[in-house]
Amino acid sequence: MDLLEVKDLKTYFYTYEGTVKALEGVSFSVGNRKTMGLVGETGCGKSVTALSITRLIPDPPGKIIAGSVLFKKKDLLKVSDEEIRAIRGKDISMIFQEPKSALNPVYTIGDQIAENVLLHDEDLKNLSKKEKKREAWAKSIEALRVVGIAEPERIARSYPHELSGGMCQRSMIALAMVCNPSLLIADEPTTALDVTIQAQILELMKDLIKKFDSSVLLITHNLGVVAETCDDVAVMYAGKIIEKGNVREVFKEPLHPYTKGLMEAIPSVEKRKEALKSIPGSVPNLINPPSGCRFHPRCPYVKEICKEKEPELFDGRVACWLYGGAR
Amino acid sequence: MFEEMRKEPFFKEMRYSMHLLGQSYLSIAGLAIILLFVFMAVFTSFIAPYEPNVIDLANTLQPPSLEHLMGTDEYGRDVFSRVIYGTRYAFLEGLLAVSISLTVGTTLGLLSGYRGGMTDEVTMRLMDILLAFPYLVLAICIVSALMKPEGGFFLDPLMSGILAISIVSIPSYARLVRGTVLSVKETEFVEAARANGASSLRIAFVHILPNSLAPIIVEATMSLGTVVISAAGLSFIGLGAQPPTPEWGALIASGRFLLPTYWWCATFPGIMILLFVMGFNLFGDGLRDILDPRLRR
Repeated sequence: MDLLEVKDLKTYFYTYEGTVKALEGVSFSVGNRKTMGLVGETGCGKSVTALSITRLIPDPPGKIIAGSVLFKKKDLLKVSDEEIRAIRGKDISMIFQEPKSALNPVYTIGDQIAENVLLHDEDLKNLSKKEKKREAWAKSIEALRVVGIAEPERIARSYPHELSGGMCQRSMIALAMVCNPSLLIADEPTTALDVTIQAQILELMKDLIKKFDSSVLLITHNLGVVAETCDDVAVMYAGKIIEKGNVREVFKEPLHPYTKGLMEAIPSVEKRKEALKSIPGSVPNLINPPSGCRFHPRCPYVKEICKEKEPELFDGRVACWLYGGAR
Repeated sequence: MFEEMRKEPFFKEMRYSMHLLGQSYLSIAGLAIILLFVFMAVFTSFIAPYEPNVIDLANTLQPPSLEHLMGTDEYGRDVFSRVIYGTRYAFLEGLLAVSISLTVGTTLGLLSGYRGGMTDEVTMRLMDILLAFPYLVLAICIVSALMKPEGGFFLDPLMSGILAISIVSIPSYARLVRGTVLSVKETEFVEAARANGASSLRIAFVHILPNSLAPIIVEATMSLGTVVISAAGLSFIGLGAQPPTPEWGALIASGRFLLPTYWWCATFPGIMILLFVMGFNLFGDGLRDILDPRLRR
C-alpha cells in the first residue's frame, strides 16, 4: 500500500463562462519515501491536483466531484473538516512557489514556524502556556538550523521582507518540515529562485526527505528538476495524466508525443545551431476540451481514432492510441 | 506572541517610524496639540483655577482678564475652567465613540469580507442603509429614539449622544476593513496558513486582521476629530451633554445668544474644538504616511 493513492480525481470549477473541468480523472500514487514528480504546462491542473489532495480548493467556485485520495488508508475526501485540518501542516505540508508572499509579512519567521508547532505538536500538550511557547520557539530555531540557516536565532527574529528569496524558501521548508510530515507537497518550489539557489534548495529537500523519511509530491514544469530529484514522474496535460512511470524509463524513452515534445523543447548546448523546438498550439480551453484525446489538435501523429475516443492509460504507462488498442 | 524574543526588530521599526514622523513638522505639531490636550485632561483640577460649576453672581460676564483668562459667563462661572474641564468630555466622547464603532465595524467588515456570500450581502446592505442617511441627521434620529415620549432620556444624555455617533460611524470602518480583507484573503500566505491547518477563525483574526490594520488606525485617528465635532454638534442642539455640563458643544450653545457683545463665552470653546480636531487630523495625516509602505521607504 502506497502512502498516497489518488484515484480518478475530478475537480471542476463552476464559473460564469461554464464548467472548467480542471481535473478529469487523475490517478497516481506516491510510495513510501519516494519522490513523485508532476510535470506539465501552465494551466494543466498540477496545482489543482495538489490543492485537491488536502481539500484546499476554494469552494465556490471549485468542487471535487469524484474520486478518492487515500492517505495512510484514509480517504481524505471523506474525513471531517477538523480531521483534515489536523492533517494539514502535520502529516501533509506544502511549500509554495513564491516564498516571499507565502509568509505572513506581519510576523517574524520564528513566530510563524512556532505557530505551526503550537497548532500540531502533540508533545507540547501537557505544558503550561509559557512553556509551550518557549518549547515551540526552540523547535522553530532548531528547524531553521536543520535547513541550513547560519544564524537561526537572528533569522527567527527577522521579518520576511528582511530576507532574500532563498532564505525565505529555506524558512518555508523549515516551516513545512517542523512537524515531520510524511508527505511534502512542493508546488514549484524553485521557480521563483535563481539557478544557483534552485540547486541548493533541491539538494536541501533531498537531504531532508532522507532525514525525515518523508515522501514528496514535487510539482514543476522544469524537467531538469524532475530528472535530478524524482523517482517517479507523471506528465499531465489538460487535466489528465497522459504518461507516468519511473523517471529513468520515461526520460530514456518518452512514449507520448506530448512528453516527447517536452523533452525536445529543452534547450541544449550541443544542438545550439538548430532552432529551439516547440509544440505548436497551446493548452486547450478546459471549459470545452477537444473530443477524444485532448492532445490531438496539437499531435503530429494524430489518427482517426484519436479524435473520437479517449485513450486509457495503457499498461499504466501512457495514454495514447499509438501504443494501445488497435495498435 | 514572543514579545521578549523579538524586541530588537520591533524597536528598530519603531525608531524608524519615529524618525519618519519627525520629518514632518505638521504631524509633530498635531502630536504636540494632542499631547497638550491629554495633559489638560489628566491634570484638569490643577490647571483650572476655579470650579467649573460654581456660580458667582457678583462677577457675571466679565471680559477676559488676568483673573479670568477667558472671562466669565452669565452666571459668573469661569470660562477658562469650564473649557479645561470640557477637554475630559471631548476625550470621553471621542475615545468611547471611536472604540465602539471601531470594534463593531472591524468585526463586521472582517466577517463580511472573509465569509463572503450571504453574510457579506446582508451586512453590507445594512451598512448601505446606514450610509443612505446624512450622518448627523441619523445621529439625531437615534438620540431621539432614545428619549422618553414625555421628554427626558432613557440613558444618560451624554451617553445617548455617544452611542448615536458610534452607530453612524460603524459603516465607514466596516467598508474599509471589508475592502482590505478582500484583498488580503487572496494572498498566498493565507493559503499557506490554510495548508498548515489553521482554522477559519484563526486565519481571520490572526492572519488577515493584522494585515488589514494600517488603514483602520489612520481612519480611527482622523475620525477622533470628526466624532468630537459631531458630539459637540449634538450637544449644541440639546441632544447630547446637557447644561450645566461643561461640554464644549453645550458651552457654545449657551454662549451663542451673548455672542456679539460677550464674545468670549462661545468663542473660546469653539477655538478648543478647532484645535482638538486639527491636532488629530494633522497627526492622522502623518500616521498615514508612516503606515503606507509605498510612501515609507
